[in-house]
Amino acid sequence: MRVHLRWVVLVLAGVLLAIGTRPLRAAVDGAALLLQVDRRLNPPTYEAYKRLINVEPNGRSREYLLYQAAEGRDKVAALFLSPASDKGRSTLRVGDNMWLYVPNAGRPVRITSLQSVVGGVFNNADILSLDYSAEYDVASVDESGEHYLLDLKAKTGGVAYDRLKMWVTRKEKLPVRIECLTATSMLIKTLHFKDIKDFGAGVVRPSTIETDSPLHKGYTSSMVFVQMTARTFPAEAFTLTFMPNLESIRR
Amino acid sequence: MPVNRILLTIGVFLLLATPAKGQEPTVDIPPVERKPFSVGGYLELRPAIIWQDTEAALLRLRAFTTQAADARTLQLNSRVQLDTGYQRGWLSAHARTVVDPGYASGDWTGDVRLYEAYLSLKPAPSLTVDAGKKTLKWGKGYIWNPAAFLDRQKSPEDPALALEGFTFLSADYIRTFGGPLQVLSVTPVLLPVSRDLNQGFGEPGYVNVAGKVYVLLYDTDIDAMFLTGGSRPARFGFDFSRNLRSNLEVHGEWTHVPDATSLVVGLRYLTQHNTTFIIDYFGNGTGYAPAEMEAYFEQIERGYEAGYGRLNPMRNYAYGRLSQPDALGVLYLTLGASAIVNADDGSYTLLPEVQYKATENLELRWLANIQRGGARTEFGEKQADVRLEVRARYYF
Repeated sequence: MRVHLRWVVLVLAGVLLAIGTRPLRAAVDGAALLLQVDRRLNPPTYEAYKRLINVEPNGRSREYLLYQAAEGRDKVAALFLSPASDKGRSTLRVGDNMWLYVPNAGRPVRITSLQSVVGGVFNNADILSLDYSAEYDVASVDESGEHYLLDLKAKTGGVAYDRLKMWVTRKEKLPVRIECLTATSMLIKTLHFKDIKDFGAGVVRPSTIETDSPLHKGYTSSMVFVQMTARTFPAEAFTLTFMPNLESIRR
Repeated sequence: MPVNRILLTIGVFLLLATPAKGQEPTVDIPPVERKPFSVGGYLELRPAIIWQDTEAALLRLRAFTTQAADARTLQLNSRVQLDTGYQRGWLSAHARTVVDPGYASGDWTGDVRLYEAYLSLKPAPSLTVDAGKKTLKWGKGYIWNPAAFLDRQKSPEDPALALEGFTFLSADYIRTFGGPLQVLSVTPVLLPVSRDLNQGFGEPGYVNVAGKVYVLLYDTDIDAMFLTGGSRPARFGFDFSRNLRSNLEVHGEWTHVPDATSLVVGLRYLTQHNTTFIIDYFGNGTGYAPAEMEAYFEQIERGYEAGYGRLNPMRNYAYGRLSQPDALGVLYLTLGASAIVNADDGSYTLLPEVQYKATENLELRWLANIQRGGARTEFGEKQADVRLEVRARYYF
């Protein structure tokens, strides 16, 4: 009888230990969730038309219209269609490498992700954004709130923001808010994802990304996706040499 | 029933006039079917006032007289740049025409030039063949490009200004790869020089051959280029550019012509407050030593003998630039300043500027050019002490 009791105690201790180290509900796989977010935001390769709108504190606004092509996780090219002063400019991003081509200057020059080719709150990394999973690792997932809260850490020093805090809806796996932070947790800007729209062919995502920043008080910038379509491109379209000819892939 | 009809009409009108909640503003997307023809460009006015250094050797050289020159002159410069294009299938044509009417010292001047005019064939995404007048803009330096073997020299006041090209036949062949070598592109060029074609390039009677190989290797842009053929001394070189961090870029050029090697190294740094700093060093292997330059100025004093009149004729220069976009809390207001220092004689030029984009297509720019240096120094002997310019440019 004493032997049986010892076995019961051991089994109970083991069960308690197992419950203590493993939650009853399986934890969310952060990396898989981030990949889902990326695929909900855009097809793996696509073309899009988007507006960039800078609103000044006095209410005056300026608007840019861009054609954008993206291939894979780390290649994005964009062509300015308006206004006339920027028409024909193109930007290219391959991983952490970025270039700007200005027709007057006649050659592509390297730019950095923290600069902004349009001014306002959006920088080049925001305008030519890659898949989040290409640039960030998931440090943790907080499931306690209404939305999943992902704490993302930059994979390299070349990424624009050291950390992101991303709130993701549980059902649609779409971001609703992203806070961009420095390594010391200083807030650089906040991105708000709004106006979910069906772009066709299964692409249903927020069409508007608004941003504000404590560094640009009174200013807001918006990025409004007008069209987004899955499409493949020749690999040469994402090279520095091709930049002056980017218009030729628009159809 | 007329009252009901009126109310119904008002109701329908209000229903149609009120945008649905959440409806996005309309946007005019350029037609997906692109028009084969395109036209664009800008119109600009550039009034300028110049305070001349009446003692400067280069002023006397230019005036070619011993009479006292005006201490102050006014200029009214203007420019119309017209860019036209045609594209159909894998064939396209481009032309850039520049008209420069101006007024200075009681004289009206005018100049019309075809800066570019070329045909472009693109039989495949990996291959482009261009024939005609065009710029290539090789090199990575901000204002100095010894690697730009087939281009004219940039303006230090506006390095992004369009340049007049040369007439040649060229091709771009692009290959992409996975791994550390991501892109390889090859650009061969044939540039003939005769008494009627490309006369400004060099000695006539030769077909010059040039080429460039570009690679994106380990996230670094690297170009190797050469020029040979007879119109200019044969030369070769390379350049590179790389982002070290998300706010720091480095670049450089190295070129060799017989008995001379030139070097440009520089960086661009963006601070947390969005201020950009650019610093370039230029070691000009074909430049003149201070003693040679002094001898040149003495020759001018003696008999107005010309010869050394090119931009940056000496050996060691440093360039610095800072620019602050959205300055003073005003979006589209950019404050900037550039300086070129001749490290051999200590003379320098300062270029403070203010730019404002008043509307989406109207740019305003105020620029000063202040040139300082002792007697028989490069910038000390320039004809203008101070030049103030206002530019209004409208894009269409």
